[in-house]
Formats: sequence, C-alpha cells, structure tokens
Amino acid sequence: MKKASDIMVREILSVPGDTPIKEAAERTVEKGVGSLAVIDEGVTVGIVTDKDFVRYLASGKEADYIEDIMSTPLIKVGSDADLLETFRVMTENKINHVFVEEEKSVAGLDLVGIVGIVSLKDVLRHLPEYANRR
Amino acid sequence: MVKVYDVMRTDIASVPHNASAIEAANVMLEKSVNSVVVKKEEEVIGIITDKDFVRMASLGGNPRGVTSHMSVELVTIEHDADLLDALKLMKEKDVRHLLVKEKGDIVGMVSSKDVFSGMADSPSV
Repeated sequence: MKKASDIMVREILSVPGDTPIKEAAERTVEKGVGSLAVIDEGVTVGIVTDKDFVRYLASGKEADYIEDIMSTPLIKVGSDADLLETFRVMTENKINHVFVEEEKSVAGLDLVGIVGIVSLKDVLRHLPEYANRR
Repeated sequence: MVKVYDVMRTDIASVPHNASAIEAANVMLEKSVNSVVVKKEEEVIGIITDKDFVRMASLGGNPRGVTSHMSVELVTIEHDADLLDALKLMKEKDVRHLLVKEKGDIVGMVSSKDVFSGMADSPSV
C-alpha cells in the first residue's frame, strides 16, 4: 500500500506568522491551494485552511496577522504511514490536511522535520486502487 | 457502476438571497460543509464556497450580502450520471461541487470528496 510520502505534496505554501491576513489570502488564491503553513523561525507552527478564513470572517473579530487565525497544534503522520493510517488520523481529528514528518540526520543530529502535506482528497483519490485489488 | 445518486447529499445547506455572507459562513461552519446554495424563493440562484471567503479575505475582508460574493454559474449533472463523468465535469469546469438534477429539478449536491469516497468504497468503478 502506498505511503503518505508517496502521495504528499512537497511544496508547501509557507508564510511567517506576522504576514498580514490579506496578503496570506492573496497568496492562497494565487497558488490555488487549500492550505498554507505558518512558520516561525523556520519551524512550522500552524496551518491555515479555507475553513479558517471562513471562521475568521464569520467571527467578525479584529485580527491582523495570519498567526491570529491559524489552527494549532500541528497534526502529523510519519512519512512511512500508509494511506489507511493517514486516513484514520484525518477522520479522527476531523481535518482535511495532515503534515508529513520525517527524521533526518543533519550534521550528526537526528532531526524531525516536516517534508510535505497530504490532503484528504489526495488520500481518497488513491484508495480506489486498493479497492480494485481486494 | 456507482452513480451520482448513490453518493449525493440531498440535504443541501442554503441561505436566502437577502442573507449576508456572514450568515452563509455560519451555516457552513454549523453544518460542516464547504458550500452553501443561495435561494430566491425556491430557486437556486447561486453558490458560495469556502474559497469565496479566502477571496474575500484577499480583498481585505468586508463581507457584504451573499449575492455579492456567490458564483452565479451553476454547474449541474444528471442524477444518474457515472461518478467518473462527475469527476471529469468538475475538472473541466474547475469546481469542487456539482448540483444534481433530476427531471429539471435540483435534488442534491455532490462534492469532489463525495465522489472520491464513492470510488473508494466501490471495487468496480
């Protein structure tokens, strides 16, 4: 069975937390994506999906920066998690996007970093392959 | 082969044409859906999706009446079409939701997620 790393998107649209909401929304529309990662000093700290924009506008609350409307904590799966495991994590957490993390050895240090993102749509697109093989 | 009517939802979230975009957003959040149709009397005159709210935020917020932000081009499919045709139509029109018609009436809605889930459940698509 395919793994999260096989179907993930490696290029994640990322913006710093102090990016104005308007600018982050512009980039989301421009790139035609459904989620963006919020980073702080190189570390991903949150995610903003279309739903977060809906929630923000519905609330009518004053917010200036993307970090004010992002969702936390990060929900992640390991890069070797298979599609069913990835699907389970998404449904359990009621989310449509999950980050993929991988352990890397950099200069003798074992670091865990985010290497991609998987959307529920990507998972559902690939599941029929297994239905066919049953 | 799985048909559109097998996976469509018949309880379509809607707001009246004189609702505000914020009311539409609240319906979206309450019902956990990504799109809401806009009705004038009983007729569907538009659709507003979560993407329209991202666009709104990109223009600096300021939600107005729902009709200012909705799409008026309604993409429809017949209720007995195959899922694959639904998928092709979504791709062609670059939309994630289709309104489902039966004998000229709108009887349901399918999202790309519904279609993919339907395909995932079926060994014979």
